[in-house]
Amino acid sequence: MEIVYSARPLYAIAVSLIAVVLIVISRRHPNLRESWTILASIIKFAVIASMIPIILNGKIIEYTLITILPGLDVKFRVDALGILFASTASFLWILTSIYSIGYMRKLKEHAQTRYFSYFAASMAATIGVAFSANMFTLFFFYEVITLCTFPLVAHKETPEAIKGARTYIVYLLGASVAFQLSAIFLTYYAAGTLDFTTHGILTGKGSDILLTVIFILFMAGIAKAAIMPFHNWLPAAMVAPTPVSALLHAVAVVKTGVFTILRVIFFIFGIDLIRNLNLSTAGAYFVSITIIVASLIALTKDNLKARLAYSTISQLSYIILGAFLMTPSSMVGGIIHIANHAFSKITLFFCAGSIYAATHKTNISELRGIGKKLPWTMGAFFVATLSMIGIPPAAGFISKWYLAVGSIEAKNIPILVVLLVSSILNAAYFLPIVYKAFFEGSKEDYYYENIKEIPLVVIPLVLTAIGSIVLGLYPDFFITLAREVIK
Amino acid sequence: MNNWIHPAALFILGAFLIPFLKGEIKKAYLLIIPFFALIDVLYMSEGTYWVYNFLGNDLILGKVDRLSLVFGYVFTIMAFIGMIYALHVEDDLHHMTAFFYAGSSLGVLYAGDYFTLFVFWEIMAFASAYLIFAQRGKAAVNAGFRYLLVHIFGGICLLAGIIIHYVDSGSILFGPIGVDDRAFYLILIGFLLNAAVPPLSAWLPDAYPEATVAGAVFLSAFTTKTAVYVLVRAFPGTEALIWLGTIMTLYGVFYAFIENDIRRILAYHIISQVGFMVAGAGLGTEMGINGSVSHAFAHILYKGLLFMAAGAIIQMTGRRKLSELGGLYKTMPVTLILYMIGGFSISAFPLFSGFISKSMVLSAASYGHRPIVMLLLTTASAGTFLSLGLKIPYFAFFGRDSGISAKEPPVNMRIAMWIAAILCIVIGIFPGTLYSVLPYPVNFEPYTGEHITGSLGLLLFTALGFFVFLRKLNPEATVNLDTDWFYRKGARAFLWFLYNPMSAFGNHIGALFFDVIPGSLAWFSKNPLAVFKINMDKFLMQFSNPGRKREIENLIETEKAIYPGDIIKHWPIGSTVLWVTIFFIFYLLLYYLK
Repeated sequence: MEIVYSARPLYAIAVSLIAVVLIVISRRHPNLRESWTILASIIKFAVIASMIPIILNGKIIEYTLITILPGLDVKFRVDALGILFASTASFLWILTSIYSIGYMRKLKEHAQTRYFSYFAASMAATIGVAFSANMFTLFFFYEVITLCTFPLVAHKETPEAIKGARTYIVYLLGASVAFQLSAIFLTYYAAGTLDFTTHGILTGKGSDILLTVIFILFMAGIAKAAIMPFHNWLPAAMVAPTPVSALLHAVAVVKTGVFTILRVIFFIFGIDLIRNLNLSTAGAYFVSITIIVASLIALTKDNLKARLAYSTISQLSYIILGAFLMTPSSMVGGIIHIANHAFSKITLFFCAGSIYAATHKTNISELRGIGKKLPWTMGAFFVATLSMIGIPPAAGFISKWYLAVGSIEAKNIPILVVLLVSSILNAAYFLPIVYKAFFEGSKEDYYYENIKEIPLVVIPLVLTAIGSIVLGLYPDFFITLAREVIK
Repeated sequence: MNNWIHPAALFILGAFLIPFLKGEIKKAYLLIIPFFALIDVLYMSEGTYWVYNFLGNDLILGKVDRLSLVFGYVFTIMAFIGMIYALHVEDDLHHMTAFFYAGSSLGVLYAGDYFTLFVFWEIMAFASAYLIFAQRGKAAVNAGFRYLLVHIFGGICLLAGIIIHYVDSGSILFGPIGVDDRAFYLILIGFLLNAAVPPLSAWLPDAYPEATVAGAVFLSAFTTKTAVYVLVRAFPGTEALIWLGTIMTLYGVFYAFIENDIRRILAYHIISQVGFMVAGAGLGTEMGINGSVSHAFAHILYKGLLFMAAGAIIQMTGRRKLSELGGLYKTMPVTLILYMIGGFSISAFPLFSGFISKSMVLSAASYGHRPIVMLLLTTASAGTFLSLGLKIPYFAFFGRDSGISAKEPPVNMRIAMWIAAILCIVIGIFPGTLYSVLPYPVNFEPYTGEHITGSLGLLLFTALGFFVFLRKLNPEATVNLDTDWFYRKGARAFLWFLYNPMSAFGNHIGALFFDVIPGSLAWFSKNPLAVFKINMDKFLMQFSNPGRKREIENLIETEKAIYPGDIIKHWPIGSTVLWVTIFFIFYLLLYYLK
């Protein structure tokens, strides 16, 4: 594989760090401050996009910043998996920035400088995870994300927000220090390196028991992937302002977790090793439990964001399931679901925020007839719902198709049943929201209330909803990248 | 170039223009699109068109042959009639979803592969659901949700079958499936659900009567008939279909007989009539398939007509139950005439469309040497006439005068009904026109003396029976139990389970991990050595004599009272060292694991 040396990954990370400084400096001028965010997000995406052609040509980009010990560097590597995650997250950051402005100003939120600066810092760290060349660098950025998002979760500063943020940090930091760090130590000790390598670095480097222990420690330590029982931080994080829930807790943070797991499976262990350790089927069944149980819990939640959070927990495990099934189709399905789920779930969160900003309502039972007042919001919500259920031509169907084909290729009918039952459950908890909004309630329900959709909020969510359909009709870009990953 | 545009594209893309048009232009547009689609289908010729490569597979959007053509004719005709009937509806989304619905059904017809078929199949389910939701009100919304969930379930069975078939055979081409294929039953179930074969049929009489007046007309035409089409295409000659179809005909007739809601009676008769088509597909002979297809053709028109007439009654009177209607012949004579044309057609009176198609299915059963099937189908025919030709007209238009002063429906609804009625009669009188487009050459003459006397005798005898037992037949306002009871109650029980035992379990788990375990860990780590001491004393107590036991008990009491203060003053090592030791031992263990 041809390697290109370039500092572009560093620039992509640094852009938003520079923005943090500029945001803090111009804190007295809200319009200037927000224009830094927008500008940074656009430049960041442009830098990342400029690397796409190189990756599509089958090359990878590397850049070493510092060498601490032999085999222990702060080093960046841009490959197909990284660019897929980074381009999705950075593209959605542009839309989230616009959305944030509309949302935060409408609600006259306090501490907006803190909000925008930590947001930019979190994005820098997210891209850092995407472009890390080894587990050491990745772990560093992984923890930075946790720390930078903490003030965002606690943004409201109410006792409830503080409690949620505490749960958040205990889970994420606790699990990563207790388990992930041990796993990294053991890996370094066994393999002598932490670099991501195409067929893994651990093959033949330890007894089966040791390798299994390392793997389980990794799975437990990467709590950001929200595999049960390490999922409770995600519903707790829903106290954050909605743009945070949208980009960070539906895309950046949780996908960091899933991304890290994919890195571990594909580049630390390698598929063959996982299969030899008999971990693939066991892992697939284990995450299947999360897929089903999270959906069942979502059915019982009346709070819209809580329902979305449990849906996220369920959908994240789709991605890991795809990796565990270890057939070409299932892995492609899992990997493209990173992008497909991102577009659809961010739309749903944007909609929840739009409803909250316009009406201050958070519960599904209060949404009867709201569709007449917020037609664009609820229309986009419906489109994203289709993608979640996996109805063609929405993007979710493409992932579901690949995963289901993969389950048959793996000769695993129970997993196919899990996928399909999960679809029905998705329909059962998402569709009532849509029909309540459009068809229930009388005409007078919101007649006297002055409810209007906020343009800066609605435009991004309509765009992401359109994105969910476009990705279903033209899935080739992400599929090409996914095929590159598993090659 | 004969095939200039896919008719589904005409509808589906055309739908997006509707919200931008106003007034008369919009009305004209709503009629022009189905009309163009009809012309388009009429000029289509057999072959394979519109092949696109998607993710490494060839998607065939236009596989045109005689079978798909004949369905295409009647679908576009019915879409045209339905749009005339719905012209006065003010809801843009209603028109758009009707277009999506008609377009996606056409998409299914011309789909040459399973992937395309499935995509249109799902659009069909969602678009049609809107026509139920749009009626609003609690009953309609709940029925719509049930309808949608049932169809998503059917779609999922179908998808599972398609994927298994795809992985096993490596091909997604849509064609006949062998019994030895692993996907046989899954795909069959997916199709049977849309064909409303019992026990997968309850969604139909549950949802259709709750739809909008115009929506029900579209619903009656497309969903079940696309299912018949795919059954004819993929499962011709499947023995089970003969019996399922025969059971359907009787099942629908039986439930219709005890039902009171006009549109629900019609809905049960869809099941009954589709039974004839399913049985025809199951016979699988050329005549069976011809009979099935021609019956679908005739059925779409007369059932559309009946739903339009029933819709006219509901729209003009605001009532939908037979027990609340009566005496409408005085104020709605035109509707009565039109309804009766539909009623005679579905009852297979000679010179009406049902006669020339149903008799073909019956003859196919007879040529196939299946006398029992033939007998049961004939019984169902008599039942059809009893409910639709006698019961509804008698109790709605004649019978006890309910004192309703209703007007005839608006002119667009009347025109739509007239077109359907005229087509029913034209097909009945000139069967050759329909026979000439059927998939196989027809060697069948419906108007033989034997056929005519046989069916007239049956019908007249049924009529005699009706008037003899008239007093017993008064419709009553009851709710009849169908198989949807299982998922209605089942879903409720399941939700109860989720809300009560399961969330209680979740709370216990949450309390365990958030309160009990962290609490005891915190308690433990305040002074781990004291905890060890207390537990050691407890342990010792088990093995002590009674006197000593009391002593230790007192000791533990005091130790607990002092906790977390130091119990013993001079410990040789601090607690930190203990922790470090524990971790070292742990890592040592891991080292030896290697």
